Amino acid sequence: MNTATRSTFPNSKFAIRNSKSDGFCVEWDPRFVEEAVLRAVEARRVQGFRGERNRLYEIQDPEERDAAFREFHAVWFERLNLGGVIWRALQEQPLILANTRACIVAQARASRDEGAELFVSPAGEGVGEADRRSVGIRLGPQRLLDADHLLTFLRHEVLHIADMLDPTFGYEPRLPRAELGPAHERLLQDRYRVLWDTSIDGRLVRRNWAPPSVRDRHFHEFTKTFPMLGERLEEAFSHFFDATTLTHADLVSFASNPLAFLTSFSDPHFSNSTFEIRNSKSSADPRPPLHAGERCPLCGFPTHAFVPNPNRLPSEILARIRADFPAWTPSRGVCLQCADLYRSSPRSDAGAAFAPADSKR
Amino acid sequence: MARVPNWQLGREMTYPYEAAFPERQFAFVFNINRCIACQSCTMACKSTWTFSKGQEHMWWANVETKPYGGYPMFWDMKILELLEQANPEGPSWSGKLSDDRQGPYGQFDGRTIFEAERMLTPDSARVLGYLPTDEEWNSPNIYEDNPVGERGKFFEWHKTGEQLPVHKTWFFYLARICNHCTYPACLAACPRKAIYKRPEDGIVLIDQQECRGYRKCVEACPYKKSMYRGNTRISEKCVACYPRIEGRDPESQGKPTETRCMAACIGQIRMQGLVKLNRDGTWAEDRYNPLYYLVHVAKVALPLYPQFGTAPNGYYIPPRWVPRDYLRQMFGPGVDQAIERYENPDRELVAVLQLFRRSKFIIYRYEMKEGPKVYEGTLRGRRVSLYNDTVIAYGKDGEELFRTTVEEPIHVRPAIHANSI
Repeated sequence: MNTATRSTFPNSKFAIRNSKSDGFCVEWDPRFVEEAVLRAVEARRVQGFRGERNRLYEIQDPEERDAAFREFHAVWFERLNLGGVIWRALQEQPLILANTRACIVAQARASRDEGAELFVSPAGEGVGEADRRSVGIRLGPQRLLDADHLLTFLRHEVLHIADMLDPTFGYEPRLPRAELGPAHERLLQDRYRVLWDTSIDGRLVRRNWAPPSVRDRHFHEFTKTFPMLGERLEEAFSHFFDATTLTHADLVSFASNPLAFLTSFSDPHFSNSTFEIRNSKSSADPRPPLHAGERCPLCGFPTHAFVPNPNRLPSEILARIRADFPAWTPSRGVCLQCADLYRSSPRSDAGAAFAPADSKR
Repeated sequence: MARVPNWQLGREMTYPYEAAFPERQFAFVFNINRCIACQSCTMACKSTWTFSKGQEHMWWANVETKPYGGYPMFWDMKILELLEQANPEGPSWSGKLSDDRQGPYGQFDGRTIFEAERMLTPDSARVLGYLPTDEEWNSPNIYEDNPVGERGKFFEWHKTGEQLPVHKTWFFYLARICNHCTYPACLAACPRKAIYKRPEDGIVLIDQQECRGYRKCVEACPYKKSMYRGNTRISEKCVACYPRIEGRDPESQGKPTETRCMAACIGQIRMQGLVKLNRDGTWAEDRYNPLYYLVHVAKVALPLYPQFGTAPNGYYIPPRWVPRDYLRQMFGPGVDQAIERYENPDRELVAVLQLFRRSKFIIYRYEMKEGPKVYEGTLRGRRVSLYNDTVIAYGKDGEELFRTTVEEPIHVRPAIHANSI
């Protein structure tokens, strides 16, 4: 049953509250609703909307007028069935309907903020587990104009939420701390995200909820994230994309140490040497390019900012690097900080020539 | 659609309404070569007009770093892209620069935003445009100070990139307000006729009682200077500080006064005025009006994106270090001549450039009194002479506003002064 009532929405006076399942409701941010309606009316060339809306401007009291606008847009939001796709995506996940009490749909500030989150409030006496949980979805209102694309996007997002609620997945909100510091924590997060996304879209493809081309996109990302897997990339990728049951622990374990995980495979081709972590300071072997989170071969610090194409560095800089690191080749990569250091080294040398003799060492 | 004359395009064009010209037109010249992007103009406007709830994202006056910056984000790239689609054969100019005030820049042969019928969606739309998303309004000063280097070279600026005539590593600051266009796209697009152009000064205003928030003006204005206010559900735009123009602002002392953004300009890049118009919309001969001189005599000031077709009344002295193809796209075919003249100014131009920001009152006329030669030398292979001429500015009723000289007066502070230690 679909009912529409008002309820309090964070940061605004009214929100539309829909309930299609017992105990579960969706609350819509009025600002999101209004913007979505205005864009939909324009795109669909809806008749009769403007005349009705224009009359609301005659209401003198600002608060009354604002309330009237919100109610008006809410009615049109329902009439144009703009929320239907979101409802559908949610209803496809019984775990969400059973284990949360509400979904709050709000406007994303920017496209990078779009997505779904699970919110859990602190435990309170007499408050059930499900009542503490709610789903937050942030979207750009223009998204609602393209229902097919939106559904694909939402299915991916809500499957993340479903995994988080699934006891067999065993989700933990925090990843283990990386001993090597914040750069590695970010690396772990990136790897975890890639693995989880891969696993989710694999499941969506098998349900025909995502196009098969998704596989190629994820394999490309997987390749960039786990270049150390070499010729075993496809096999490892398939392990996640084609898996039916994976747990949070599986993802964390692989993300933390992909090499150790793969050595546990029974395939005799897997060996430590295949997946050796590069010790970039001593080796001159040609190797694949470095990736975010790896160590710069010059300074040895983990970094996310490598020079995009070291071959294009000026020849005098390349020569200066080679003078200090004879085994280094541009294909081994260099971080931006080291490149800056070598770029400015002629000036440092020139400055040193003018320094007092006792300061030269 | 009516046929209206557009002297900036050197031809007639189509426009939804018949041409109607004010007695005088609000206009301004910005000298980009002087702008330091201090944002004093931006804040002067903000603190005067857009400081209320619901106006947080509104910056009627802004300064953006070109080529990457823009408020809203990429506004000019987006509208140029639409215009390119409307002109698949390429928007182009023909003819030559001339002294003809009906077409000083030659003729624009492409379609304007009013003439791109086949691109309009829905068909009933009158103007080619787009509605920026909230995200695009969110970062008013995005890409500040981001320069362009050589194509294909990353993290490396050209070694001699700072040398004229054209810098190989460059950016510049583009200060913008509403252009109070002769053919406003916002006015053309408003389904409720809530936007009007004042007959006395050509200032374009949105009637706040009539606006019903269709946002067609926001969509249509190619410069994106009409903005929607979410809490009132009404669009707003620059009002050209009209109480100051009318001399009714308490600060005006009854005299026509320049806008807040002009008066606040630290870099002295701005001059604003009210130019007389002919019946065909061209500027009436007014030889000693400084704006007339800069636009039609010295021809150093050019309209911003004249190819849009709105006949904007904001004129810019283009930045002399920027690659010319970029500037030609932005200011039309007059760029090379404008820069050449600005770099090698004659005696009168040097004097007129001293008028910028010596007073907050609108200058209606200037007069030059010749002074002695104070410098002779060579600059970029040319003989240069500098004269310490005096330039006198007059107000609406012919009263002298101020007089200044080419050589800046030197004031020697007395040994004992207000904050002596």
